[in-house]
Amino acid sequence: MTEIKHLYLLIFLDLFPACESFEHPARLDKLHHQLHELETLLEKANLVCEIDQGSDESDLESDESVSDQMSKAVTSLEISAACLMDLLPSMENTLNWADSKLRNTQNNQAIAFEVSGPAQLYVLNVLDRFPKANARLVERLGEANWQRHTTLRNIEGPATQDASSATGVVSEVQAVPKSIFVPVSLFHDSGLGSSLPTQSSYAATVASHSSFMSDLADNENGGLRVPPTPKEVFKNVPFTCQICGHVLSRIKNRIDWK
Amino acid sequence: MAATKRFGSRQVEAWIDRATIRTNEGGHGTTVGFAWNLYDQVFEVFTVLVPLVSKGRSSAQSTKHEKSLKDSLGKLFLWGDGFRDGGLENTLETSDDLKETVLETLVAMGKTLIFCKL
Repeated sequence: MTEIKHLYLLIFLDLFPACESFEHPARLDKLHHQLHELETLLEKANLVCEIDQGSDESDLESDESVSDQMSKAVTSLEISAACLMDLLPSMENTLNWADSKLRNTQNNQAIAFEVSGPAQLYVLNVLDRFPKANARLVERLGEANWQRHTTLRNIEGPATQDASSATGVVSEVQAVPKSIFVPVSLFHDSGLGSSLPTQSSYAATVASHSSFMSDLADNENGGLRVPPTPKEVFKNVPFTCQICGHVLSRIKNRIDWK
Repeated sequence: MAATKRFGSRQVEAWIDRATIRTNEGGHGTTVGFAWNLYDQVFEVFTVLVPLVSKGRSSAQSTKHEKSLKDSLGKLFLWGDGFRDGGLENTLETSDDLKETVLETLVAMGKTLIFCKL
């Protein structure tokens, strides 16, 4: 193999004499390095493709002139490049087919998923609500609902802390300013024209302003009821909504809650 | 009608998957492999050698050789440019015949460049 290398270098320098006129020896070293890497790859290719290379050395021993060798090398490279270009349409078709196959595989993988255990309840809820819906769609909606539930739970912690701090602020705002003036009697006015929030002396009504009311019959018919009003509403203090996770402070009664 | 309904349902499923459901699947794709490395190395050596032909000689035949080599180098560049980022490996893995033909051709070019095989 070493002899072949020496022979190759002699022929190489004969065919490409400009190599000797390289201004920077580093460039020549780089070229030799590239040729060495190419040689390694060709050896690997011989192992992979089992290409017969028995005729290589015999060709190197031929007694043709350098000019003829150059002509044959140029023609060989030209034919090889033309062969590759001829293969191009077939290769492009194959690549397009491989890409479409890959896309189909990706789509199938996206559809093939499993419902996690806790999400089964949500899947059943969706199925009860929409019995005729596509089963796979129902599974996805159930899983999505469950994941939204866990997301809300995760952000609930910081929201609760915000609620406690907000409560402190509100209590400070709503505190009645101290005064040395003591009224003789308590007077319940209408609140009109006053900057202070007033409370009505009448109990909050339970009548609904909506055109329908939720009752137990709705539950039996499959309808959803409005969740019970939190106790904080009646205490008139801000609280963290279990559904949306926000701190609510303007809800004074069940009508507002609805 | 049923086919349209099924297609719409799948679209919704795909939308839910993308919009809400989190999966642990990572990216995939074929990386650069042996065939591309071989092509790249042949192309690099070819690119270095072509200017040397014009520097070394000044005859009419040399000019003809230089033109032919530049044409071949241009074809080689155009051929490989469409198969970057794993495209060549994707193509050759699909067809054994193509793989064999392409590798043999690249090997022939590499041998011509290295051993000046004539």
